[in-house]
Amino acid sequence: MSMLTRRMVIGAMCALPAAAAFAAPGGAQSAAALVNGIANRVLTVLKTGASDVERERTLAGILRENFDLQAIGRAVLGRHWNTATPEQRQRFMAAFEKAEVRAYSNRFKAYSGQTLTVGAVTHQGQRELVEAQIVQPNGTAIRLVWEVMNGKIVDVTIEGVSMAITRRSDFNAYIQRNGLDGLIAELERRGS
Amino acid sequence: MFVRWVSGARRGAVVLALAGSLLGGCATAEEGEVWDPLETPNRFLFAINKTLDTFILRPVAVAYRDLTPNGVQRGTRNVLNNLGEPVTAVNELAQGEGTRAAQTIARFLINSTLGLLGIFDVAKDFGLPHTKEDFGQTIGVWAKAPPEDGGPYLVLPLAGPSNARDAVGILVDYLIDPFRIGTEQLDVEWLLYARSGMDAVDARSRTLQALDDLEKNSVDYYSAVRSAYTQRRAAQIRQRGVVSTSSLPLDAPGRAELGLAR
Repeated sequence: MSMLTRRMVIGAMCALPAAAAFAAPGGAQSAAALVNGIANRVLTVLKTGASDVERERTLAGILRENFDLQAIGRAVLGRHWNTATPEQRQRFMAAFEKAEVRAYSNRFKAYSGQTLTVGAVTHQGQRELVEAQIVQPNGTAIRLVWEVMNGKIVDVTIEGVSMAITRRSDFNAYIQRNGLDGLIAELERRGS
Repeated sequence: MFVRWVSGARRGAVVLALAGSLLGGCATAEEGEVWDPLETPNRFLFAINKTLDTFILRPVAVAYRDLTPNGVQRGTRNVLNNLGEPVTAVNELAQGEGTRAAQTIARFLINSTLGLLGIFDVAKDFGLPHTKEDFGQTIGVWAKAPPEDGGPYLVLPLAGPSNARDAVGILVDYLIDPFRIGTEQLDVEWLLYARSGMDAVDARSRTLQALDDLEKNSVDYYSAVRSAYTQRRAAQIRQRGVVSTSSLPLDAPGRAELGLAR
């Protein structure tokens, strides 16, 4: 408990630039700050009541800037990445990115009183895991974990469900039925 | 009454044995993929469940979420949680978590009395947060296999995504549930149906956003649900001993709160 609290205090302190000097070297504080920064920017967009187009553009910018979409795309394609031709890889990445941006923009339509609390940061090899909790107005809490690598988000786990792993299963099943070109065509259709 | 229970128990034993034999020789086909040897019938049941959900459960859950006051929803969930405490306590005991089992029983006693039949979760204010453990999780704790491996994936009629481990779990929880035994003894089984119905609506109302999102953003919804279910159950088994809603000490001095206004 004391360990956890201390880590959280450190994490919170590092959100303040002035306190950064006291922090141990490493990326933990920057990972927490990254998540904090993104959350603040998303909330600002949602609270100002921007138009749909404006909101989508801002969210797309935040996503492109802070998510390592290349790494996510490769991981999500799994073994099919290795057998794909360079042309297929390029088309897939472009279509995947567009579809993800569209999905994320639609996810945050309006702000309805949720609270985000950023908690402990733990290290797992090269990755930093940032724990957080969203509390809904009706009191339900949702546990989140952001996975950060080299200063960019590579996965989000919601209540134990990794978006990357779920997407990989999803794509894998589609590829088995319709082939990689079928998947790319479907993603292109959705992103357009 | 007794005869019915015995026959139920015997049927249970058969399913248990069958599931046990299925659990025995399982291996995942591909790294990270869920073992699903019954995919064709599973997809068929999934489609039926999906239709029932679209036309019945989902609309009811939406109405419940949007038209019922938050306080009523919270009270309902508290009552349902409270009715589930005895089964949780048994499972916590079976998982070797004696202290938590005792806390769960204390919660049940406090909330059933001071909390007016469970409507108010007063035990939480006494430092006894709600926990939930089912027999599927207990098997997962006992098993040597990683919690992602729950035997063959199953789609159950009405109940939805499951696997051999969790289906056995549902059955065992049903058999040991004092509330079920009590209502059957007293011939007030409608209470059991009312509780199951409320449980379904309450649970569905809390997965509306997540499942809508998953469906909209997946290219093969069946596979996405299969993966998400398996991961979620594995996380629940791994998180044994972690209290879900208070795992982050929200009132700790170092908290960084972001979205403040409501």
